[in-house]
Amino acid sequence: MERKVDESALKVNQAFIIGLLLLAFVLDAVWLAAFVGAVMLLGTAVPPLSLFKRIYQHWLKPANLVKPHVITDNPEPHRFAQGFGGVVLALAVAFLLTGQAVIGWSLVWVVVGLAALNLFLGFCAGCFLYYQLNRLGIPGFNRSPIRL
Amino acid sequence: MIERLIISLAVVMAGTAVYLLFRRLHLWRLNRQNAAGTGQPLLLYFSSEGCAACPTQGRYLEQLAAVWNGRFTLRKIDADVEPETAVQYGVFTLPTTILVDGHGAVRQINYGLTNAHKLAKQLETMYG
Repeated sequence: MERKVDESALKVNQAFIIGLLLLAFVLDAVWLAAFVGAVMLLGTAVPPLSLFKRIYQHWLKPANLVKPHVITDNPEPHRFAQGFGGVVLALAVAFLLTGQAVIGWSLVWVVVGLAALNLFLGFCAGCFLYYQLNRLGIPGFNRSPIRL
Repeated sequence: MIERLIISLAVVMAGTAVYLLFRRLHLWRLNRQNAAGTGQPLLLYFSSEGCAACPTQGRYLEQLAAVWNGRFTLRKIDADVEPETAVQYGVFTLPTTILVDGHGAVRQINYGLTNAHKLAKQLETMYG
């Protein structure tokens, strides 16, 4: 069975993450960073509940504001990348809530940077890490890159 | 809030500047190699077996080649098989596509998956 990923959905997801985290930093809104982290973790655990992808599916795509761009790829590494980002954000929020603002906001910026790297340069650091773990035979990282 | 907005803008602008500078330096470094031209545009496509997005990039290039029908040369380079070529061209992510004009000058570098439409536009600029 051919495995498909809608790259537009991924890009919309990354754009939302970047935009909302920048807004969280500007407004010093820890709750907003926590919200983005929760959305990312929930989207990793239960993909159909991924809020930003749902906005793409139910609003942006039907309104023709973003065109679908379906490619052959494994969804698991992208999900792992999102979960990894969500965990970093959870850590960031923990630091922010304990008064360690510099470390907390630095971690938020790391997530922004990695999402921007993926959105603008097409390099998915989380996917890279997933495939390295797959190469090492770590259980749970079962998908290897698709070869045609 | 104003200082945070300024910090954000500064970081975004610095990131953009670093990217543009990096890309420009990459182009400059490649053009110092004085490669001989082949008379028609050359599209270098760096891939590898382990690259997830490469099959899609390969399909885009097939579409492009079908439309452009012999008006550019496509050279596929497997970075695992020819790592020295990948290093020579400063390739750090896969897929990477590099467009070289008929005189041997590197005109475009695309990091990551690049669709056929964008590549076609880049080729069009070479034909003026």
